[in-house]
Amino acid sequence: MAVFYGMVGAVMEILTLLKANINKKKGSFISVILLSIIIITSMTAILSVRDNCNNAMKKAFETADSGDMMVYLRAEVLTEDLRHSVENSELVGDVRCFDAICTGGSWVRDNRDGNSQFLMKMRDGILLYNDKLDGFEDSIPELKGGEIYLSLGMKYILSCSVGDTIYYDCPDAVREFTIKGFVQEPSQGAGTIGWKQVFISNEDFEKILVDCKDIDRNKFIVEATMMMIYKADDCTLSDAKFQRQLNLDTKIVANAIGSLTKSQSIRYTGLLFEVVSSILMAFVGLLFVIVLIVISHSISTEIEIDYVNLGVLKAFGFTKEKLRGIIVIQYIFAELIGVAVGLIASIPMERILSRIIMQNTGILPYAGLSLAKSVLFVLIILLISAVVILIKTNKIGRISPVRAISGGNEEIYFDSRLNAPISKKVLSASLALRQFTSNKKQYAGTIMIVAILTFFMLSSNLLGNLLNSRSAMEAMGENIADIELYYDDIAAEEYLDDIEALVEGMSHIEKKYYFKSGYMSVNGENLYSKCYRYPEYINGIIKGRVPLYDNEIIVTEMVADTLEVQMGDSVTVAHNDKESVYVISGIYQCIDDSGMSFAMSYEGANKLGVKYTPNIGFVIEDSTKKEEIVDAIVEKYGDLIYAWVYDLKTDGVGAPIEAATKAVKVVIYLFSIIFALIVIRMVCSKTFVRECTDIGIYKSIGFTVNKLRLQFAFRFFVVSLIGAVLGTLLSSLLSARLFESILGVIGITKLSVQYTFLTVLIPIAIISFCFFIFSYIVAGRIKRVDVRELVTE
Amino acid sequence: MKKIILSAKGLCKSFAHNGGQNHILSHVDFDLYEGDFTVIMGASGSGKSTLLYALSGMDRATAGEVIYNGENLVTMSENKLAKLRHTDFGFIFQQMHLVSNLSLFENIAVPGYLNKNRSASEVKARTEELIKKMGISDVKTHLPSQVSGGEQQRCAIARAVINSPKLLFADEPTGALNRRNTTEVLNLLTDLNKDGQSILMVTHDLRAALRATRILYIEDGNIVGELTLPPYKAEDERSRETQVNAWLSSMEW
Repeated sequence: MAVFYGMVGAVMEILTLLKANINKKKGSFISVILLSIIIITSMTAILSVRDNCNNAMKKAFETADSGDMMVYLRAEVLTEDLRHSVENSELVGDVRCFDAICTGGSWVRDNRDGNSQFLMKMRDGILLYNDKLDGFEDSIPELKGGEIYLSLGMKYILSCSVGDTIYYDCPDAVREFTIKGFVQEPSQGAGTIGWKQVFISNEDFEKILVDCKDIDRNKFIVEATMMMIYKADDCTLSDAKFQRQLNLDTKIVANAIGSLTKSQSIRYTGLLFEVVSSILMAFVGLLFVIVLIVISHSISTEIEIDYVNLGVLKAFGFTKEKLRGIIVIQYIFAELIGVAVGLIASIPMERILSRIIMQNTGILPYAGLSLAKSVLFVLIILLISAVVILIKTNKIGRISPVRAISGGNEEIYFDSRLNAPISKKVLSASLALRQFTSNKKQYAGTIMIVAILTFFMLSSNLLGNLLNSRSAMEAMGENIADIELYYDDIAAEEYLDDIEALVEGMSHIEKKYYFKSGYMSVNGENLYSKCYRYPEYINGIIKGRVPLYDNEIIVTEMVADTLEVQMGDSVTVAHNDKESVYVISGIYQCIDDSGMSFAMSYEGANKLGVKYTPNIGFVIEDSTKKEEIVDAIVEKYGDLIYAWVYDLKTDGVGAPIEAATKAVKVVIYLFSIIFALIVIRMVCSKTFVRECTDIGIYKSIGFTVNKLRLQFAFRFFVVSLIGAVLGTLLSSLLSARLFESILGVIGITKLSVQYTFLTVLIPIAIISFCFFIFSYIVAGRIKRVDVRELVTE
Repeated sequence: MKKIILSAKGLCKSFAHNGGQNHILSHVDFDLYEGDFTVIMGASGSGKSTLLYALSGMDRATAGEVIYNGENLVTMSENKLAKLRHTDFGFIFQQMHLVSNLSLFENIAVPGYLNKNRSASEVKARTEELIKKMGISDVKTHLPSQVSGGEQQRCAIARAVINSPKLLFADEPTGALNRRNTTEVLNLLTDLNKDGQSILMVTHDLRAALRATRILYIEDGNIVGELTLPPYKAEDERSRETQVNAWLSSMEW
């Protein structure tokens, strides 16, 4: 019984102190809860969406049964022999073929997608989304003439809805269809994949084929065949190796317009979310570091303020371990409340995120939390927090009961080395500075927090710059021009010199890109390629040099790793029925096909039967003349050639990437401001309690409340400014590395970020302004400081 | 005829306590005269500090008036009171209450900087003068935590008079000091008074009270007795002590 009473007593004393602590430190308690809610909500939602998306993708591929590899071939190229060689391969279990009609671009109102798309008949395994896009219809109504089903990714690329008219640049003419609905087509339905399968009625399909019967097949691709190739049951090769080996055995990929393995589809579909979620997870991870800093700061201040109370408790027999335990329980309890609320809040958050991600993947994600991962994450957070709290509370052991009870405190040490003089002219500012310089250690945590927040805000700006900057995009292997041209009629070739002369006459051409893009196989691997008439203008070289001669190519690092080759090695490039050996003259980085690409000169491509370069881009000296030049080209050569002004902001990266970048920026800015608000409230409150006497003294000697509030806020402004500058320095050291590590998944390993005045100023201004305003608001409590606090009765 | 510098009329102060009102001051009426060294004495809890703070405008009375320069401090705006604190009033606390991260020099100079009628160099010169007068020249660059209690209190006195206040309030200024420091501080206050400084001091230290030219005795929030004395002279201290002691005994102190 005595033992029982003893245990009850021990629990009661801890509970009593815990309750008193929480009551007394409501501000800290609530702040930790709020910060924990944000972290748990974000991380749980991101982890869950990742899992749900991956599972939904697997399920979607199972339902669609699209095979392990999908190959598009011109109908004329797919001979019986080629087909049989694939079907008879030991690696292949099954082959299914579907007819398709190849189109140029498509557009809805002013929204254009220049990628080729395949008009197809509806087949099994494709699911039709319901009106709310939160589930599927039980059956798919048969399409009538003039109607079309689009994959969901296109809804967001072209900003279109059911009932809108979509136009297709078909081989014979521009055709229009009414959008009847959106479907889940997993292999190519994502916003990050250019080619799309769209579904039209059987009668429209046949009619287009009839209408196109007179089209010259040498000039235009009309009919295509989509082959779904399934691995044999005993084939244990990865998708990439399967594709390469099958190509080496049959040349199926070398003959194709393009091919895509299931793994590539999954990778491209999840790529954007992978990049975005990696950035956000890094951000949330550092937000947790901020929480730890806040808790550490709070504990240090509490021990300082409660020095006497802790001494008294020790004098009454509380051990150091018990006192530390109470503080651990206090903060872990706050975090647990944050965990509970955060988990509940992550349910709607997960749904919102899923809906956003769905716009890019085109796949209906599963709903629900990924409980196992979430629980593991929570446990890690609690464990790390407990360790940090235990370390920070270690100093309780050094509190002497006698010294505490006698009214003594820990010796206060003011470092006067950096003390700025007190000036009459700027009295409040100089006093604020003194508060800071004499307690630098106290503000170290706050400075670190601001530095982290600024680093991320600045990094999100830089990410935006990266996608909107010509030099950055060029560093990523893109051809960024002022004017772009395209022709599909080979007859246009004879006017190209005249067009160039016309442009040169209006503004000097600084760079010119003439290229043809498409798929070719390198050592059997199907890769995206660009053949340049002027290879000296190829961008993104990071090692070696551009392919100047007809026996040279350059590859990305990702390709070099995949093919296990390096600069100086020879590779076999095959295209249609031709192949040739090339030497790798350099390594470059390129975001085309998410890093799986190579480039060669037009002369080199000639050997593989490439006869023309229909994509043209001009970088002109006087970019103000680009509209004028385009008008002149269209006026004179409009019948043969398309010409348009290229705008990096609107044409640079696709709408999904642009939207994702903006979303990342909004989330980072929003969370940073919320964090700043909570941190300021907590830090200011602690500072306020600590400096209450000083505030009373200042009031007693004639300082007005407003002057003291400004002084208080100015100090935190200075602290935030220092943190923001530190964050900027941190960014200059780490932002590029951060992007490189995240964008490594799309083959970008060397980046130099571009700082502009506004890129740097905006985060610094926002964070410092927030700190100034929020601390000014918190300092409103100065009104309530009574000079009577100074009275010793 | 002495000039009235500050008047209290029907001054009341009460605090909410256990659902009721705890009356600390009840209808206090009295005048303070220019040049006087007035001391308020009384038992613990009699309301002497409350009275001091109400009179100095540091705390607002619940009812009544505190008239200074024709204006009522009880209804005066916070900003006006703040100005009054650095122009007309000086205050000395029992626990010194120096700003811990300012040197002694800066602690004295800061309220001087608030005074718009003085240039920075004038404030600095005045600060140096006071530091010399208070005998803390050697430690003027030290922080409060690095000097003795007596030096801190001398610094606090200098801070209180940096703007040459019309009235100096002191709340038990020797309460936290040892005997030697107490004497030094009292000598400084006496010297200031001799130079014409009006002082209102709360104390329950008899030795401090001996420096007064007028002693008020407060009991249960009311002034119940008053003793007027000639200006302090060290050689008269013994007879002065006998007189004050006798008077305090009559007040049942």
